[in-house]
Amino acid sequence: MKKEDLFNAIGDVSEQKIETAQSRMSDEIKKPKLKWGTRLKLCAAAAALSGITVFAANSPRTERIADSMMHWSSHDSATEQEKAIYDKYTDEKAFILETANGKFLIDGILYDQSILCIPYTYYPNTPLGEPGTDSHKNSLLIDSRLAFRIRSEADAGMENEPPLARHNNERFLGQCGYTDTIIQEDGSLKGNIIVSAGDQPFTYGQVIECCIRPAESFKKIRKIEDGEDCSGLFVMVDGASNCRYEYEYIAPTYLYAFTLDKSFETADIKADGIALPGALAIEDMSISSISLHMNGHFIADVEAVSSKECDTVQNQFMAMCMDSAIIMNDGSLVKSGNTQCHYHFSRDGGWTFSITLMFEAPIDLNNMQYLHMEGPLADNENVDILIPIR
Amino acid sequence: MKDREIVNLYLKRDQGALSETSAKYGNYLKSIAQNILGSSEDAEECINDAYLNAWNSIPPHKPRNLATFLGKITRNLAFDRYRQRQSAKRGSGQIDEVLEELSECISGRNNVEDEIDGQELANCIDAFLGTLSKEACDIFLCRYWYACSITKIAEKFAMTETNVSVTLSRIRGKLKTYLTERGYVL
Repeated sequence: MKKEDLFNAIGDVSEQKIETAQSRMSDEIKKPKLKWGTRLKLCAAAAALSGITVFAANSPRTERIADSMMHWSSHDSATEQEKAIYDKYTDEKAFILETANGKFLIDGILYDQSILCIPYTYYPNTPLGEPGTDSHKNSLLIDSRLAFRIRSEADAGMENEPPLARHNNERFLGQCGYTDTIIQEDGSLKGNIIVSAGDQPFTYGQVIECCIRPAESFKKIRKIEDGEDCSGLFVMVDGASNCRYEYEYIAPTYLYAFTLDKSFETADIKADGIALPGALAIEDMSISSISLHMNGHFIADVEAVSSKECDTVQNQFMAMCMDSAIIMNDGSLVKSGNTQCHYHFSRDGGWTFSITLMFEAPIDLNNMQYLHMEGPLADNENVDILIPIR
Repeated sequence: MKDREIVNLYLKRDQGALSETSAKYGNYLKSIAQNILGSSEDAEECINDAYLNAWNSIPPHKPRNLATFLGKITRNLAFDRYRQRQSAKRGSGQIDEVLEELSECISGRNNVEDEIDGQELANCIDAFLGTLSKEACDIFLCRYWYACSITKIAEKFAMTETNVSVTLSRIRGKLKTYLTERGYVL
């Protein structure tokens, strides 16, 4: 055997071993890869010097945000034009949310009046597998108890309120999370948390609190003996045994708070007279580069329409919204990628609905022409509507 | 651009694949070629050949790890180029030292009986590397796969150069024993 044979044979060892050693050579590969210590220092600096941009404009931050926003897009990556929109409207933040299973690195948020997007890069505490593989095989559980709420003056001073009142006062916002399950080259995962505003729009200056909700808000401490004085204790009665138990209230763990500083531009769409078959009426609509929001109601006589009938029509309408698209000036279509829907019933107002469509890609507000909705509605009558946006 | 996007460009026969490969992996591949060849100009020529080779290989290949795939092509091409110019006795990068060190692991004899199956030997070395600690394995491959200089390895592993040299010497000793026990070194 010659030394050259040995050198050649070393060249054919398993790829897995070469990849491991390759990580030592990675400074020659052009990819953003900061060590955690560096990231923490950056974020600490950002927290200390709030208002100072940590990451340079059009930096890997834009790339990370664009990547994280692509989860329901039919395209593999954002176009330069789309990145420019993200870059223009990203509210630059730099913070880390540390949970039991890992850390969420967040360096920007995007919001309009209906939706708050928190694109993140997630670094698990323990490696999830080889880069390029699917983390689902590892039964990944991203910290699902991460929750968001708007800080309000009403929350202040609640510490001395009874536990149940405090618990009821914790109005967390509706949210859903999307995580790309393919493990990145540095072991991270990319994702996006979508927080919906619900019935109150997001507004400039609001403070959003990030918390970890406890698995259970009330923990059973002990059984209270008959005749025992339980004043000052939080007591619940077991319905079956009629025994009394002392409970402890477990408050959410506060992690971080940030202020909404920079929003997408929003435009109202004239919605007067848009009455849909199935006795649905749209009251108001607004649109931004990332979402369309509409509020409406069910016109029919509440007494005369069964709840089931109402549900059917509203579900059909929601399905139609999910298939809707924005028609651009050049005739191209941008589909909705995510739909969030809220129904509410009251004696006075009847059935009302609130629907938010998030687009699969950001759109230039000036280039939108129509909202196109099509589908079966009310006894399968096919509806085909073009709603002018401008 | 992500690796799978670059690979898709190759699969679509889009020449943008070459510019994206060059932008992302150009420096990485050049460091491998330059470690073996020494000359920057030779390394440039070598990685241009590597791009062409990748263009002709994808498809049919669809590499899982593009960096490793390209690295392997570059390493093989650089080593071929090194051997071709050996007759001209031109100076090289690290490769002379690397080969000299590897010669400690073998007998140095070369006859018909010594002819061995390259892949079988690779599997044997792979198994040997599996017996080492992760760090020792990485140091070995940085030196004998990537042909990195001792100085560079010391820098990357936060070790002294002496420490790296001693570590490599011990690994070579173990490798020789391992290969001898399996009949590769007589």
